[in-house]
Amino acid sequence: MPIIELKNITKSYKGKLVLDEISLSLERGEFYTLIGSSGAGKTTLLRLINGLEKPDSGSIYVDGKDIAESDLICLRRNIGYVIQSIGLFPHMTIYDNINYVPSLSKDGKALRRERVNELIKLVGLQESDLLKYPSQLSGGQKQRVGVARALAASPDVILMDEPFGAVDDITRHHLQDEILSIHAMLGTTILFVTHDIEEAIKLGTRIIILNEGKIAQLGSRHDIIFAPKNDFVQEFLGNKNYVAYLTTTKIGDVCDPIKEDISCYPVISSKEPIIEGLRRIMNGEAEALAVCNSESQIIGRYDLGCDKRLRANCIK
Amino acid sequence: MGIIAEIIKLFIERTSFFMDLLVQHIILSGISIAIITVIGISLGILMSENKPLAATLLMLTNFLYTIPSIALFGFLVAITGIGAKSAIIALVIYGLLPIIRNTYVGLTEIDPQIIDAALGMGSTEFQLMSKVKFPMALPIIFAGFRNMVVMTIALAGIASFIGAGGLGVAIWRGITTNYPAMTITGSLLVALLAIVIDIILGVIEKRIGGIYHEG
Repeated sequence: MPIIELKNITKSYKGKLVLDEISLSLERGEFYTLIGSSGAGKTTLLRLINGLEKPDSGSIYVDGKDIAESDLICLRRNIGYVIQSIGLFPHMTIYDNINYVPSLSKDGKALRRERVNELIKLVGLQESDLLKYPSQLSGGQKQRVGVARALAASPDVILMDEPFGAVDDITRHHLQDEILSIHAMLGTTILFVTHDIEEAIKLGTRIIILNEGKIAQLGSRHDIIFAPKNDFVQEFLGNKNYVAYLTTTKIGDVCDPIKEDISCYPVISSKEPIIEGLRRIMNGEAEALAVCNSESQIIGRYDLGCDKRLRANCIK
Repeated sequence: MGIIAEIIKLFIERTSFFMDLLVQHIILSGISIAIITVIGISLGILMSENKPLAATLLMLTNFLYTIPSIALFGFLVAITGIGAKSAIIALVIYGLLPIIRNTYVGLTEIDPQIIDAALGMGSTEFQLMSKVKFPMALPIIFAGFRNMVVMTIALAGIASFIGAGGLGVAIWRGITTNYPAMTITGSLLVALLAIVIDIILGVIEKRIGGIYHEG
């Protein structure tokens, strides 16, 4: 059963159609990224799921239950929510901010101190930061607290609305890596709105492209890169999907199995992105590279043909 | 004899008279301040949830604020009679504006994104108010409270004109018997009370506001 299901959702604002008969199923444990030009209805779609917006028509099911018939307060407490401006409460310490959702429930059970410590470390901050107020943190640190706060009630789903939109490039890359490792560790279903194509492709196990209130394409990273479904998607992506492919795909994921002895080739770690392999080949270091795993065993061969063969496989 | 020496002498001779008036003054202002705070904050909260009510009440309190205090006291004597009751009603009417306005402004100027986050995480309307909006508006509300307290203490000096007691009695007696030292002593005590309370509230205000800065 999909964890979230939208059925024929239509929504308009001031006479303008924002979402047009959208149907969408989100599977448990996947990391969905939602992209589209501004005004394509990304944020609206997100806010429909936790009931901050109501659809004009259609139904939304979370865990199989129609949210129109569920208790919205209860629903929201079980869905993590992170927004671009973060919305940390300036009058509460970081500790109290993280504890906000647990403190709302009737039994008022706050998280155990150890759990809060665990969460703050999970997002890469120090225990000593718990006593600070949001104004004492940098933009990137606040974003981390926002993520910790969303994780506090151990939700099954986290909705994130351009959470890394307001931080600098380097911080954003760190945050992206961390949310990926958090997702890998906890397996929480994530729906992540962004307008950055590279970010969408880097993070998403499934990518949803929205255009004029309809889903232009929903597919895996490879589908989006190698098989744009229509002219809109092609034009929207430009060549950014390829850039993202080169910088985010690990060489270990595309290399060919070893058929002959390749120990004569220079070695590259399987964890490096493709672009690093390309750089070395184009620099004339060799015509192919030997890909090795973390135990320094050679596991594959990378050359310029690998990416082509992958694309051929994908289209099949 | 200099006026200052005369004041000191008067105060020493009639300490218990002035102390009684000071206590009356504190009680009169204190009761009014308590009523104003409860009504003002409640109305401010209601107004923040109801735009048409807010417009009406702000207009009404603004209007009441423009009535000269002497006129209002005189008007109330005709309705509620002479004594502390009329004085308290008049003080409440004047004091409401700053606290209503600051409560309303403090609650409505909170970053909508923060409210969005609080709602999106599953706060009830009551929790949104009690855990997020009200504490965030508190520095502004407190500034209005401080303003109102000082104003009420000063204004209570006029309350003795309608027989409500307080330090106004000394002022009034000094005027009617052409005894400037008496008038000045009464006035100084009102001013001193207002200044001391203002300093104390200022310290508290700094503590409340110092906890956080927006952003």
